[in-house]
Amino acid sequence: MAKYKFKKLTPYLVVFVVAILLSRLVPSLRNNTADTLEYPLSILSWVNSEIGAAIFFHHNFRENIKLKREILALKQKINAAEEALQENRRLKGLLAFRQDSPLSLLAAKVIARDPDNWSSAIIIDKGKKDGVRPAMVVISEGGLVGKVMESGSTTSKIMLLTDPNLSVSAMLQRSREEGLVSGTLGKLLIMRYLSADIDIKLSDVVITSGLSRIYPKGIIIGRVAEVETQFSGSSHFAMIKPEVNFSSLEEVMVVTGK
Amino acid sequence: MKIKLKAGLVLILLVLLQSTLFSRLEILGAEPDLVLAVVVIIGLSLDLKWVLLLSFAAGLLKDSLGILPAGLNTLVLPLLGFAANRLSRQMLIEADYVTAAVVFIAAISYNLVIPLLLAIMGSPVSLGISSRIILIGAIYTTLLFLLFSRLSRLPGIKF
Repeated sequence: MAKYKFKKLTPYLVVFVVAILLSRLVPSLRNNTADTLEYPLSILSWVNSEIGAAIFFHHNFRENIKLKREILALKQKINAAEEALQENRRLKGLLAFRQDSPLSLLAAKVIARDPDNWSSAIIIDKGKKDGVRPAMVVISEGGLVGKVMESGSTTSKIMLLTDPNLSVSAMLQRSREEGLVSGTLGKLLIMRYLSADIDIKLSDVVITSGLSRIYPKGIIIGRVAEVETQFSGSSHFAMIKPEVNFSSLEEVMVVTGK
Repeated sequence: MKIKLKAGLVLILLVLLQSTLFSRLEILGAEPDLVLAVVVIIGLSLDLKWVLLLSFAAGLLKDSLGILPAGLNTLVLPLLGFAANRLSRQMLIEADYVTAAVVFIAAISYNLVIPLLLAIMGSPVSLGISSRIILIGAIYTTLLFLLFSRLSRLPGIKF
């Protein structure tokens, strides 16, 4: 009976002993195996990590492109909003000016400039169809811009105040002294034929005198920047800084009636 | 034919640029006149027939966008193109600085002839303004021409 019991327990004992032996042996085996396979494993591990990184990088890369596109779109939106804001401000100024002005005005956009160095002109997007005719006066919220030289059916050419061939009868707002303002093809205008004993100061405002039939009285031209004496000494001339910034004109108004 | 078409397109583009973007490049009232520079280059490199045709078209387009008395550019630009073409038959003009010198002389001549014609037509421009525009305009045109001719040689850019 005891022998039978031992026989029955033998496989369990063998398993137990093998298990104990393996438990003693496996750590050393495992260490050796790990040592032996260190290089191939590290290579595989590197490959694995690189694949992971590549997948991650690709994901990041795609996300980066997407974000860049979003930034660009947002920048464009901000830019468009800024542009709209500035246009809004300009148009509000023009509208306020138009409502305050007793003159009958027609708003127009500047679409091109004179390609020559020898004249100073702009082209606007309003023509005969809109009632623009040659010799009409053109102003902006800043002041006098020039006059219409030619008008086509949908566009017109405006000779700017900076053109030497445009002369405007003007006067100093403070002292009411009169002179003739014309362009110099540069940033400043020149006011000629000022009397020798004229009462003139720097920053005096120069306005149209209304002596000529073309230009209504009281439109601002600019401010006195310099006063010089003619070579003969018989009269003065003054350099005038125009109120209108001619290089950044975008919208103007044509005086269609008084 | 292709080069002539290209030259014509460049001239049209330049006239349009001249009346829009180039006004931003103004220095002391003078803008660079690249249309003039291209007319000179065309004069130096194409047949007289094409030189006259293209410079006439450029002058006409320039006049139609400006307010100078009609026909000034239409008259003067073909004359300059003709002069450049004659000059190219007399001497070999290849180096950049020689071409630039020709452009400078052409710009000075153009800027002398225009106020002279304006004075004859009854719209004189004062001597002070004229001399400023003549000098600055010619120097500016020549410098910008040199810049563009250098840029056109950069790899990947072909005009």
